Amino acid sequence: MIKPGEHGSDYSDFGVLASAVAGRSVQVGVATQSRAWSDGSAIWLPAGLSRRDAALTVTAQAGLLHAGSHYTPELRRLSGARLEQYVLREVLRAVHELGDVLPPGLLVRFDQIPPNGPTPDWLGTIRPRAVNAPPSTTGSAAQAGDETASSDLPELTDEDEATSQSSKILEKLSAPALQNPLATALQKMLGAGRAASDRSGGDELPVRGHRAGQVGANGKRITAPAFLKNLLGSPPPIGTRYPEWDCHRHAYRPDWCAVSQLDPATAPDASAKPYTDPALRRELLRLGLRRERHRRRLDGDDLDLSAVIDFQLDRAIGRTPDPRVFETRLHTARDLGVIVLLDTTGSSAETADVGTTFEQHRELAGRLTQTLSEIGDRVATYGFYSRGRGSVRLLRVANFDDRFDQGAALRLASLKSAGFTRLGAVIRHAADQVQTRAGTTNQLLIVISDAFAYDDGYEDRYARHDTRRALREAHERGIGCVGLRVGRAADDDAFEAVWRGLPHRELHDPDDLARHVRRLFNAALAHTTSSTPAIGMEAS
Amino acid sequence: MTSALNAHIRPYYREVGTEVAVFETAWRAQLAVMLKGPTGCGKTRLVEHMADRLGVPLYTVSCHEDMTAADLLGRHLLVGGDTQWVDGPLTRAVRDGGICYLDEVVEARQDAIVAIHSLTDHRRELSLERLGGISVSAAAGFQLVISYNPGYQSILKDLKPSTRQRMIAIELDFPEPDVERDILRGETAVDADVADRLVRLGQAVRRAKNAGLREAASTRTLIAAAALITSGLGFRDAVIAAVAGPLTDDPEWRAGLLTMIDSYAS
Repeated sequence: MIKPGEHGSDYSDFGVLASAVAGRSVQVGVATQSRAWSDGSAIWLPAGLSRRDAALTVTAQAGLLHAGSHYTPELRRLSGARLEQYVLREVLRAVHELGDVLPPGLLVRFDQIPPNGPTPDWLGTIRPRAVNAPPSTTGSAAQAGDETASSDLPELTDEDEATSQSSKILEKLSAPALQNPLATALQKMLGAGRAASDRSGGDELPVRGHRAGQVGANGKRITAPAFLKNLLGSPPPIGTRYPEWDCHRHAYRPDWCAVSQLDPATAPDASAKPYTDPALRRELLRLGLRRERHRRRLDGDDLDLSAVIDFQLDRAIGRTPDPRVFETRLHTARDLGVIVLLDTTGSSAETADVGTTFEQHRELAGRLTQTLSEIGDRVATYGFYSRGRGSVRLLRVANFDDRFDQGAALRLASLKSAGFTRLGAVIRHAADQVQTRAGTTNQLLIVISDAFAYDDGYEDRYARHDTRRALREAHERGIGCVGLRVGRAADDDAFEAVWRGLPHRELHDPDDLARHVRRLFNAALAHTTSSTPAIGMEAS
Repeated sequence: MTSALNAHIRPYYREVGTEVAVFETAWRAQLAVMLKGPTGCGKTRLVEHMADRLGVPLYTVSCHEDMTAADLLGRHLLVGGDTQWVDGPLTRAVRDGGICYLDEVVEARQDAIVAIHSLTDHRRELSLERLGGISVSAAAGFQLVISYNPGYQSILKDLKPSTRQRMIAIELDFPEPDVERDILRGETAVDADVADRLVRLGQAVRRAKNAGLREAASTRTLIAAAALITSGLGFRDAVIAAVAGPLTDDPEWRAGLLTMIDSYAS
């Protein structure tokens, strides 16, 4: 634990304070700039702040997030002194609104700021061009935006205001007829590819080429190689860090990937639909998993005290006593925690017929989540994608404490296919989640993906080995792993190679799941903690 | 046994909304009440307060999975060679005209809960089949009160609609900041500045709950922290012991909470 007053360059423990002030999940990391800023989902602080100053700056920046100051339409037109004034005004407004929440010790510091400026440096700033789409959970200021609040704009060198001028390279890239593979890859990296781009708030620019336009604004000042490197480089890593297995060196790369959890923005055309599957429900109900007390039985391990008293009583008054005086424990109660991971990446959409595979995968995830949650199992469901090792994202459909309600169904419907696949990190994070949050003895991790892993520096053999490694780690921790996919694609060997030796299945369509689910789940659960010791797994 | 001494001490309760009036009206109209609200927001305290205010005995049952109908209704016991019927808490409340409070009712199994059905409708009768099938009519002051924490239990354990529809609902939540400050100062002798900082911290933790914390800091934990502080413990230590510790075992959340607590410590 870092002691107060220590100068640490790691601010991750300020995340709770930031989340409390912002009213939603916010993470805190180290900025490469000299002033604090936020992209809407994370706050970056300059290195070397004292604990007290860091708390103060986090409060100011999280206050801006609470007030929705990053999403006002006029923000994009502000620069220089007017932007500074805007930041000051918004911080003071937020602090006023949160007057009942903020610590008095910090409130004093905000009260000391003269309301007409100048804006103190420690408040940090807003970088209008580095703000992501608003998250769906915030209030009025939020509008439907991109598929997530992800950092799709790469970190470039610090700039105050660059004149907007499109780069020639990017103009070429966004030409509609362009078909060369490099361009496609670049477009995908920039997010200009399949994610239907419809940015929020008072934006008059046409949809196509918009992101390219944004990035291009900086193109002028940077030389070509550096420019490309920046484009392809990942945004500042944020989230929980996980190692990755390097099969070439035969060693782990420690803290290599950063995984964070976000809520998907609600897509305007998304509608919640039910995912009922009676056959699946019937099959899943037949999985009996935890021992439960059964009273008044003819045989059993213990005497049922109430029954014995009744027995004795009946005998005393001359009635025929009921001989069922035993109790026993049988595997009839459910004690199952399941985490369902839905691959939302481009690769899933690129198979045989574009789109339909992803839709069927979505259907699978929906049916599993709804059915398990109806039965009373603990279930969490996330979509996932990545853009480089620094931004592996899990999009919440439902976490372990959510029910599968309208909101969850809407979040599931709002997932769009985008980004790349870095399966290993996703599996490591999910394994952690199910182990710490499910609170059940039996734990399952279900991956719905074609397992075609591809990301920046993550492909072919390296990707397959890391994914298998991650599955093995989960398996060794007593978590049952199941691989599911719909359809059969050209690169079948990726799915087979990754899942060899573990329960997995290629399904013809979502209806197919009911037929195989019990065999798959039983095979996976054979490894979980409750089945290893034969006795002693009492109902808690 | 109520001694003359503690008969004067009415359980402290600070009304947050109209719950006291609703409760009292329901009691007069002989309607059962269900209390909904997060852990530690004052459900049990409200019932204790109301029983005292209405001058009726209170029978509290903490429900659990292994509870049977006999645990509620009563059973025969063997005394020497004879049997003797001993009333359970529900039967006693019905006979004496008291409040029977089933705490965390969804923890109980369905077969135990069916016992309350005939009590919640217009009959207000308790059928004791083990006592030869006799029915006991509820005395005038009898009221059934159940409580549960919505969103805490799995769907399987939710109450049956037929049971729910026979009750009136009072929804409680954590109080507004100024009310909560009053409560802290009413329960403990904590000074105004500390109460204010505790309440602000509680507000902040509840906001952080949106970000993934399982439970929020309840009024109960804030009172515990205040009690520790008035007994001489420092603010930081008291809050860690009473609020942060019980809230999470996750090291990252814990570190984050400690950092946040530091901001409120002075």
